[in-house]
Amino acid sequence: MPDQRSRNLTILARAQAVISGLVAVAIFAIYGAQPSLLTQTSTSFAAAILGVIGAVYFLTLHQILSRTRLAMSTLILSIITSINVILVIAATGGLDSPYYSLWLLAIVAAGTFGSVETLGVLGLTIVYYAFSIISEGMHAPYIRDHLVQLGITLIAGALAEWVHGRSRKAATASTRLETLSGQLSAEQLKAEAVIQGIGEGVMVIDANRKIQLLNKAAQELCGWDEASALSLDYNLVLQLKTSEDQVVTPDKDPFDEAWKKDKSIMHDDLIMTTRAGRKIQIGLSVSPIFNADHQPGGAIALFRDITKEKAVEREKEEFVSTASHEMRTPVAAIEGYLSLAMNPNVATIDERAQKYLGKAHEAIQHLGDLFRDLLSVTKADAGNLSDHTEAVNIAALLQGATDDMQFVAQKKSLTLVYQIGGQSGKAIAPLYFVAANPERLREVVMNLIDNAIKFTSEGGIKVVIEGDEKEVTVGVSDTGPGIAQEDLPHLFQKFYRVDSSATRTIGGTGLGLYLSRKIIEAFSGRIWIDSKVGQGTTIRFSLPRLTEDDVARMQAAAKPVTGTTQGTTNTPVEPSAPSQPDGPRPAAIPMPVPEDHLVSQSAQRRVQ
Amino acid sequence: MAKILLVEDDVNLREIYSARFSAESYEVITASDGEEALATAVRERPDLIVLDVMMPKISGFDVLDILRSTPETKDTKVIMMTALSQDTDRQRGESLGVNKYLIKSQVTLEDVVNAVKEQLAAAK
Repeated sequence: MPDQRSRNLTILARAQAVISGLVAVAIFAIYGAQPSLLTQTSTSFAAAILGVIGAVYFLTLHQILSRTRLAMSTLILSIITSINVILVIAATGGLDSPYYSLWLLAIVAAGTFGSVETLGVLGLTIVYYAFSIISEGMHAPYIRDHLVQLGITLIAGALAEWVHGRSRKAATASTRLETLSGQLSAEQLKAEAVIQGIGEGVMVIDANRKIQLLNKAAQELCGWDEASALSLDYNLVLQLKTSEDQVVTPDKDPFDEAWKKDKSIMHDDLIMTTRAGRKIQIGLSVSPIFNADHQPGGAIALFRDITKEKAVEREKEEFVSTASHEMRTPVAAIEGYLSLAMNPNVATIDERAQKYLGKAHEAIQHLGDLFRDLLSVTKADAGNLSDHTEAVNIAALLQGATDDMQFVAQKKSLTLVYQIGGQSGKAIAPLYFVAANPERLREVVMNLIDNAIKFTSEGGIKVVIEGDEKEVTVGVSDTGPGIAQEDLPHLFQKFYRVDSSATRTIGGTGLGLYLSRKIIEAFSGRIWIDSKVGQGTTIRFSLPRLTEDDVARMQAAAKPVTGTTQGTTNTPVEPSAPSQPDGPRPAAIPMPVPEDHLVSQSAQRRVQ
Repeated sequence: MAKILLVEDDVNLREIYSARFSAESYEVITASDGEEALATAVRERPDLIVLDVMMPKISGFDVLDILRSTPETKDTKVIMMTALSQDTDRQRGESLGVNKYLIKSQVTLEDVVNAVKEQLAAAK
């Protein structure tokens, strides 16, 4: 309540008190000096004025103003009013006075101030009764006539107590309310300041997608001021488009997505058109808000301009891509020259030089692998892995991959078995189709088998495909040394190598499993690992299974492959041991084969 | 004795491949860019061309296109070698009539030699 208003009301209340006091004093003076002047009419008039003033005062000002500030004026007014009413009653017939009803009102009004006041007024009244009865000579009829009146007085007292209780309760409640609302508005102010001060754009929408809040950063980003944006559909203000400059379709709507998934979602591939028509790339995170009955109640969106970050990211990708291409050229030259030097048809070297060059050759191949994987990882991190998705017969792909790796397994005297349907040993392969890029998928399978062979010194590798209507699961198990429990969670991280004597001697870039995970996840699958030290390792991945209709649709949409594609060489990884009469057979990377191999299930050829 | 035209702009790789092919007793002639490759191909009539895709001036794809539309070379075997591992690039090579498409990062020197042998064997 503003101070000015409070002050004015205080003055008014005091004036009222003074006026009614003056009136009361005047009546008192007249009564004392010349009681005969105080006629029935004038007393009635004075009582009426006082009653009105009192009523107005109690009903309005006292309720509006804070009680403490007016305690004194109220006390004065009450005393004077009481004296006045007592005089009026005494002048007009004591207990039989019609103004006695005013007194009853005064008793009830006393309740507003507290029990002491009520009891005091009530006590005074009873004393007055006793005095009246005694002064009337204790007539039984007189007492009988006024018993009802006494009863009413007592009821008024009880009523006053009730009023008192009520008003105190209300006062406590209202104080609590005032405190609470004070705290709340302070919190609101704080929250408001925080929201406005956040550097990211903040937008709050309700369930009908109408904007409820747009902070300063958001206003600057999208060019709309809050006043004109409020209650507009958020789409008008954000004008989201995909990175391919397509309008975001309802099924891709980030807010719908957040509500559907019941969690915060993030997008960094959206483009926003500002009010001025400028296009900026934004990073958007949407958190859904739900009502008590779990209905979408609204959402909070945070967004920021990531145009620059994206440009930097792109530059970085291009740099890594160019750099690894550039670095491959000298690597290829070194590798080539080493091959030439080790080839007895081209050069003559002694046995020791042959051995050293063989090691150099291995090392340079590892370097080549690193560049290759680095390039793939850069691609993977940029999210380009899911390009060229088609319906892949994964059972046939596995057959091809195991056939190709057979050679490597045999070199280490390991068995490599491909099983369909787990232990049941059924020979008929169900048609397991998944949506994936066959080259990428093959990369994963080859990688897993290659790893299993690398880390197994005796026993064998088993590739198992299983599936139900929803998923296809592929497992690659080995009888290797197993992996310690503490390493398991880290295996799919970049450059994570289990530190053991085995891994130090076995090659690998530390990127294979990371890439495998990225690839499998790009096709909505998951990959996990089960291993115990001494009991071998099984890595499994699962992918959503396609229905026959999906397959037919995807194959119809796919471009027919023309030309005379052949499978490229799949030279197994087997460093140093020359296996060909025409020179050392250098290790090569297990590589993707053209997809027609997978679709037609034709046998994989090795170029030899 | 089969005659191979090696088209490669990198001088080291040119030397490596020529030495390796020579070790297989092939007659090797080289070209370091697309123009030279076309001129040499028409003049020398090689049995097989090992063609790099990424070259200055005329790209390997364009060279292949011209070779296939030139009467003297339209049936010459062509092995393409590229750093481009994109499927669309492979398809482009195949639609232009390449006999074999090798991705450099995925093959070794011996693989290339094997591919050459295979193509020449198929030609007989």
